[in-house]
Amino acid sequence: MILDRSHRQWLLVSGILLGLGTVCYLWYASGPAGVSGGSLPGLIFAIVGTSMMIFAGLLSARRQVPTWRIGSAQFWLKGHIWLGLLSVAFILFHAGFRWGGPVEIGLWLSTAVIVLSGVVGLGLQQVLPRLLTTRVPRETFIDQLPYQCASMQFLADKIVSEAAGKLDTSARRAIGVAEDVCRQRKWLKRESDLQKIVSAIYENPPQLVPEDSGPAKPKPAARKPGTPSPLLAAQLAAKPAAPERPVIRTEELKTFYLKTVRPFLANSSRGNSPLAQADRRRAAFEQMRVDLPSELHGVLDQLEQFCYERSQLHRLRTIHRWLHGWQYLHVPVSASLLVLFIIHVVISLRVVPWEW
Amino acid sequence: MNRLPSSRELSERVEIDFPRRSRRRLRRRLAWVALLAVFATAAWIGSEWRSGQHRVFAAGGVSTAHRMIENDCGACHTTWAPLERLANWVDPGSIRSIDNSKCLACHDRALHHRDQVPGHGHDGLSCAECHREHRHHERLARVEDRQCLRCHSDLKTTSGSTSTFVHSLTTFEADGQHPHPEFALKRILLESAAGSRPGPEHGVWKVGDAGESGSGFRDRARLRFNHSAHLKVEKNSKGELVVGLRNSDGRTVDFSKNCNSCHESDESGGYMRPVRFESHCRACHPLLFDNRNEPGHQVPHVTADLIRGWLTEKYTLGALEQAGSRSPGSATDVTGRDSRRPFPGPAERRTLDPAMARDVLGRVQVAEAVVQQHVHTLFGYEAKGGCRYCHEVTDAGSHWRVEPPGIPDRWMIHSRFRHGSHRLMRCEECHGDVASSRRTSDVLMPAIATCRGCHSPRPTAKRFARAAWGARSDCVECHDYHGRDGSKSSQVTTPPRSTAEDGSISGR
Repeated sequence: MILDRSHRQWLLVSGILLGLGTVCYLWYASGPAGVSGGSLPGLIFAIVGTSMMIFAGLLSARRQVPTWRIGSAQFWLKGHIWLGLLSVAFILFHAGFRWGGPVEIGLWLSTAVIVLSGVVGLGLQQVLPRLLTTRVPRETFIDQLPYQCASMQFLADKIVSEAAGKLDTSARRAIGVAEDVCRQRKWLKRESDLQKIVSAIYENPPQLVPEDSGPAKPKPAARKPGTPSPLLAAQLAAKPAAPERPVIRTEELKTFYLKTVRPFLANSSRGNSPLAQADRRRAAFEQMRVDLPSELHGVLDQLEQFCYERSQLHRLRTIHRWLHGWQYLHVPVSASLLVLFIIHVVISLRVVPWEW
Repeated sequence: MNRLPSSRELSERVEIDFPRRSRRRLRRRLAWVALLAVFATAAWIGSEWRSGQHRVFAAGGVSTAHRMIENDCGACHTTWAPLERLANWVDPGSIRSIDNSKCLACHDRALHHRDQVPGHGHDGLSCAECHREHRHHERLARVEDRQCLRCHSDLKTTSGSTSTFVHSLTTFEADGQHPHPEFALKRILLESAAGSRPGPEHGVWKVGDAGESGSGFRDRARLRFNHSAHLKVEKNSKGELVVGLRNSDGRTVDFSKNCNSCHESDESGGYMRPVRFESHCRACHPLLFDNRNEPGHQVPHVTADLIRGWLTEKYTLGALEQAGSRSPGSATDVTGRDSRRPFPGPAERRTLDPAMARDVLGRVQVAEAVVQQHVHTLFGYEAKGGCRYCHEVTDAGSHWRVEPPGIPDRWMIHSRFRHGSHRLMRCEECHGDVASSRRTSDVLMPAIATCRGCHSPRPTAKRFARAAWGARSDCVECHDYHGRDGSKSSQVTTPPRSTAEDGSISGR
């Protein structure tokens, strides 16, 4: 919700209502009887303020039935903001600017928390969405973060395994998304292709498809750890070996990946990891480029790209927490306010005729 | 590096069936947290309810005096009126949640004034209309000015006459539209001095009168006292006190700076105790009666009758004792009989010795004459240093009559005052004329302007800028509502008479 010119009407109406209420309150407060929440003017202020609060609270109910034609979401949200703010003034008039008893103090504190968190939330919603588009170009759905982390891990696993051989690591989560990733990229021609792909990546892959789902093919001989894959071996054979780097140290790449890059790509990684910071990430990969032969630089480029994307997802999660975190205060305290409000009404009006 | 992704790449980043899946994780979490908050709130209220702490539902803290019943709402509330008020648009103010009978079960009923109208358009005043409970007030009696001004801004009485009081009063400020008038005592004093006919009395004539000539208002106390003489001091060039009054220790002191030597506050610190001869005067004014023969002996400061009896006892019985002591055998009375009780049996009849009888008679007559002389010395017209030095003594024919001093304990009987609250001030700041006062009839009470010097209305932005605000000036700061007309004896008192200083006794 952006506060823009479309709010002018609401602002105008709220201002007029506030002015009217203030004039009425001043007239009523200057009377000989003074202010009292139980007097007729005090009760009228209470009814008006409560009606506004109820309207503001109905926003969440409106969201449950988005298809109903009972005003646009914008209308309800604007009403939530402006009438919610205005209701505080009318409740103040009702209470005569007094704290009241413990229940009323609870009501005031709840109202203060709700209004403050709402205002803070509104302010955050003015700023953070713009920040998201500029600072997180690879923005995605927050619910897809675990999937994206796992898919990045799987793709990175695949790239590294192609360059440095099978990975001896627990890849339950990455394998869990392998089918989706492969299908989206149209790597699966047959049912058994998934098993093949996974088997080519991991040392001890789980059985993903039944044994008889595809024609049996002889398994390729397992490479010894540290030896290049056939693809890389062919590439290396086609190129003349550089005299200064006679040995391709794929084991170093694998270690760097498994110990540094892969944990960072995981969904559970922390935003304060060295790879989350652009300069340190760049320095780490530059160092690896110096250490590893140029044939592996393409792999490093792709891993760095994955790390860049993962750092953006860290930023996305942080911004998302700020964008919606205030609701964890706003909504529960609103529920408490509702309970206290009911108690206040029941006690004040004594609609339940019990004996004390 | 760090290039923007293509739309295909973006689409590949999302699960295939993601659009079909529920994305309400945030809402579910919020719902659970909200539910937790509801249970927590309900648990708090429920625990308070179960423990009988009903004050949690009160609309505010009760006053100190009502703390004992703060958990018993039914002790005051009879009906919960707001719903009825909503239903009754015509006269919602007449519907109250507290019945006066609940208040009167503990509190005394006392009218404000016998001429007051029943009250504000209803058939009677509700206690709760003025005494607003649940406002965290320590004292319910401290009602707002607006409650008083409901009547006093446009005063109406059952008798139709408001000549006793100002018709309209809205503020304590002197420059207000309808300011508080001058204190009745001071106003009548000024009117009397100006020769105009004094206005409404407000009970002032209980403490003062117009004097014998009827010329002006004065202190009606029937006692001679010169404040000026008592406060007179002189100092030498070294600043040492050379002229002053002696206190009980015999030291010369400056009474002008020791008003509390005579004017002592009572236990509550509110008012001054009456000045007592024994404790405040006798040290300097001894009641000597025969300093030549009885040096230092004083008569007691009691009624004229008792003084005469005291003198009679002293001289007559003394004479008889002297007579008795001259005969052989010390246990004889004035008739010469043995005052000792004899054993049963034939009594020895003793005869009166005529010579002794004449001697006794003569002594008694002499003693009577001496007593009479001293009585005259103390009460008679020539007794400038006796009782007449301070008291008014009238000759009632058969006896002397010492007029009761009638010194009022309180001067402004329709208001309250606490000397203790003003202890940081010097006495003469309010009682300014005391140093020059020579007569008892001088009324040394301050004018309202003196009070306004410190007591001014609550600060407003305008007054704050002028810094023209100070102590409270609301009505109840000085006035009581209940019992103002004397229906509560504790509130309004007529000047009491001191029994020790009364006297209307026979005996010449």
